[in-house]
Formats: sequence, structure tokens, C-alpha cells
Amino acid sequence: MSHITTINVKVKDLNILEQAANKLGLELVRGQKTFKYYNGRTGSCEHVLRVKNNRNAYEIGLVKDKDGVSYNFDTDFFSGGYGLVDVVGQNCEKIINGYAVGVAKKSANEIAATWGATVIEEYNEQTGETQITLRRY
Amino acid sequence: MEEIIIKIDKKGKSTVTVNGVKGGSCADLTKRLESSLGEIVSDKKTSEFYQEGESCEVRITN
Repeated sequence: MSHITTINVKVKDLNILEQAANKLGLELVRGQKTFKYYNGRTGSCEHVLRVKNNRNAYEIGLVKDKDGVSYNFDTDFFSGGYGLVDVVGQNCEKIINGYAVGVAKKSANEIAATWGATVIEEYNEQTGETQITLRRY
Repeated sequence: MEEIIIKIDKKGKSTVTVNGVKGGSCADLTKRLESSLGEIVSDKKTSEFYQEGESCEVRITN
């Protein structure tokens, strides 16, 4: 049975989300107030993530968190969201990971600049884990 | 040597570990990361915390 799933992401930086989305083959449509899901239904949102070049795929609505600042994801995974899950991963893991890595890189570089540290980034292909190290001697 | 290690797992969960930072800087540094990475779900001081330098680990969800 189809239903909307809310994923607690707390996205604060739309520019970083957009970069992560583009890498996966998604586009961020700022200001689109409805997202498409099961059988032509639509839900309310502030912005939309949609799969590029696949008009059948369900969309992800960015909905304001109760904190009034950040956004969470509303979407429908029924039947793989007709191509959506292939792009964003189970429970949006790929896009959440991409966003988290982007935010961590930005924060690490900002701290490194004021703290006087070097930044080292490593990716483990076996585990899918990214490690960002700030080091100061 | 002072280090801040940020690990982001496959699902996007972040862990921040601070090693060897002296004084009260450890909490300041993790606070700056917390505000951008997400909400802290656990915060623990490692055994080195009470020694010469500070070391702490913070798990952050986003």
C-alpha cells in the first residue's frame, strides 16, 4: 500500500543538498510547492527533489521541520518510487550521505582555516564510510 | 598533535572524535560541528579526557 514516508534529515543548506543531488542525477526545484507520488497524488512542500530524465519517478518533497529552519523529506517508496529508490537509495541513504559529506567538508574547511589545520579526506569503498581528518601539530 | 576526525557512514550518520586538544577547546570545536552537521545523539568523554590533553567523541545524526 502506498503512503508518504517522512525521513528526518534536517537539511539546513540547500546549496549543499543541490550539489549532492546533482551528483546522483537528481535536481532540486526550488519553490515547487507540491511533490508527486502514488497515482498522480500530490503532497505539500517547500521545494522538490526529482529524478532527472524520468518523469514517472515519484518526487521528494522538502518539508519544513518543526524547528522552522531545517527541512525533512516526504516521499513514497511504493514500487521503488518508480525509479526514485534506484537513485536515492533505500530510505534516501545515498542523498542523505551525500548531503552529510558535503556539510562535513564545508565545516571542516571552515574550522581548518581558523584553527590552522590540514584537512585529509578518505573514502572506504568497502564500507561506504567517508573520513575527514583535521590535523594540527 | 591535535586531531578532529569526522566519520560519515553509508547512511549519513556522523561521528566526531577530538583527540589531544587541550583546555576547553574540545567542546567548542564539537559544538561548531554540531550546529552544521545535525543533532547530537550521544556525547562521551574518552579516558584521555582527564589526562593532559582532551579527547571526546560525539555522535551526530542528521
